[in-house]
Amino acid sequence: MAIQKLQLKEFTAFEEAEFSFCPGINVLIGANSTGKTHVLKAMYTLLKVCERAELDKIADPDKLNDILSNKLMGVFKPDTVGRLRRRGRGRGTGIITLDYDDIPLTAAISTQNNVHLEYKHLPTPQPSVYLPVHEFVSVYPGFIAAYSKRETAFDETYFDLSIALNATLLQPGARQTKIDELVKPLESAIGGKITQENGRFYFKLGGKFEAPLVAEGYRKLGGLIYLILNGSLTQNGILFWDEPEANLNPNLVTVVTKMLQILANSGIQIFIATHDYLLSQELSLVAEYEPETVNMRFFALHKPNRRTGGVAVETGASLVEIEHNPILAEFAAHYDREARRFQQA
Amino acid sequence: MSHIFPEDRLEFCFSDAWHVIKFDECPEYQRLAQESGKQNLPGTKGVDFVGIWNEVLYFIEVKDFRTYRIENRPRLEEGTLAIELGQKVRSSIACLIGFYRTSPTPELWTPFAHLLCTSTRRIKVVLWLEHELPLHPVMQRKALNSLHIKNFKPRLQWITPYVFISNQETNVLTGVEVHNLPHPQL
Repeated sequence: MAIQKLQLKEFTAFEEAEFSFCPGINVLIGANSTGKTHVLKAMYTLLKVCERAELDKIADPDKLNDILSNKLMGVFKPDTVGRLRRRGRGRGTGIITLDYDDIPLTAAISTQNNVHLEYKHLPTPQPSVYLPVHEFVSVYPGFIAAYSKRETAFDETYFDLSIALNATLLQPGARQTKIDELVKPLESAIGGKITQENGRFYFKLGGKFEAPLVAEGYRKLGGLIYLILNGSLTQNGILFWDEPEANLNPNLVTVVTKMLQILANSGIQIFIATHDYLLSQELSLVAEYEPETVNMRFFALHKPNRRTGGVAVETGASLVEIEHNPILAEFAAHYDREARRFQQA
Repeated sequence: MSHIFPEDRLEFCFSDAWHVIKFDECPEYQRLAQESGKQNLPGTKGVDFVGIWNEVLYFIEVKDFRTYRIENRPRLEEGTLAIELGQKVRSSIACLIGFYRTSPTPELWTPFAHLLCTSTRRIKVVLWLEHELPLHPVMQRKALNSLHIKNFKPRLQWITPYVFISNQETNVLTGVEVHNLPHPQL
């Protein structure tokens, strides 16, 4: 159960783009404003609409259109939903088409704010989790109530995450070995455990520490641990992770790389958007040297015509196959800048 | 081009603007570095070239890892090459000062000694590193060199902050042309 394909047409930064994903780890790289986060959010939004339809047994097309419209507004936070259509002359329609388990699902968004979901039958996806850039365990207390009252500018991915974190821990059972396999390396990396008491997160790192007192990188990994422990990240589910490297010390990147491999091998399809040299290179090393251990695919988003053109997508089985690597390009440019300084000194 | 030197599988062509010597072609250095003899000093190993351009003193060490890429990789990645370079620069400096004081041709060594002992004059160290990474495009090689430079700098900080890894793709030596020599097996 996985997303096979995504097509974007006249949607935000994309004129026309197509992605063929693998069931394992999908890594998106690209300069700012190339739409990496929007790719993740577009897929996440459609899956969440399907989850809601399944959960609440909604079949009415008009109701589904409303749900989709509200979800797009919540996740992307535009002034009006029609502004998600790629900016151009006159009126038009932006299209998101997702193939999930070979079932196509299309969202059409017009500049006149009409939203329409097209499908033969709705897929019933496993739960998906979106991890935004900022860690969340320290912000979590009272967030659900505040968001429900519209008292925060956070987008809906944070609200969904707070709901996921709110779920109670799984009882020890048949999946305990698998959960331990996932959680133990992360707990070892942060040197302790995460718990929740009275709506607040704590870390047991020697002593007991309130989440805001703990390093942000540890809070980020702690949130991931908790989502595994409470079953929100489940086998055959989907994980969207925006910039895993944010606030993470480089020495934790190898831990995250290993963790992603284990998650992928337990059936979770993963989508990552990253700016980080070390993370992208560590993942590429796995793809280059151990391709049999995990499915992986890399997508480089770039703008061939920086002024006018849409975003183009380059695909490779590892970073070696990718020509448009802005992370590497910047390191190479750094080397060139040092060469000039060396000559001029 | 007035100074042409082969080194490994490369040919270095220094323009007239350079005052340059190749250490292992100098009799003074050969006496120290030879394996036996009364004047040999075991462990003496200098850099390949010492040169002056535009009143800047250059220590240039050449490594061509294209031939024994796999065997040489640990030296680069484990930092032993950085130590080796630091030691060679140190030996070279000792030789320059010593030869300035004792050589029968002091005019060859005076410019080097003068720059070494003038704190306002720049000293630069260049590791000329050729390595074939067929799967890695130019950008990847530049990024790797940029990272490796960070390992070399601490080993030379005692004499200069100006350390760089150069090659035919990014040649920082003004007035120097570098070419590949035909493969000896051809």
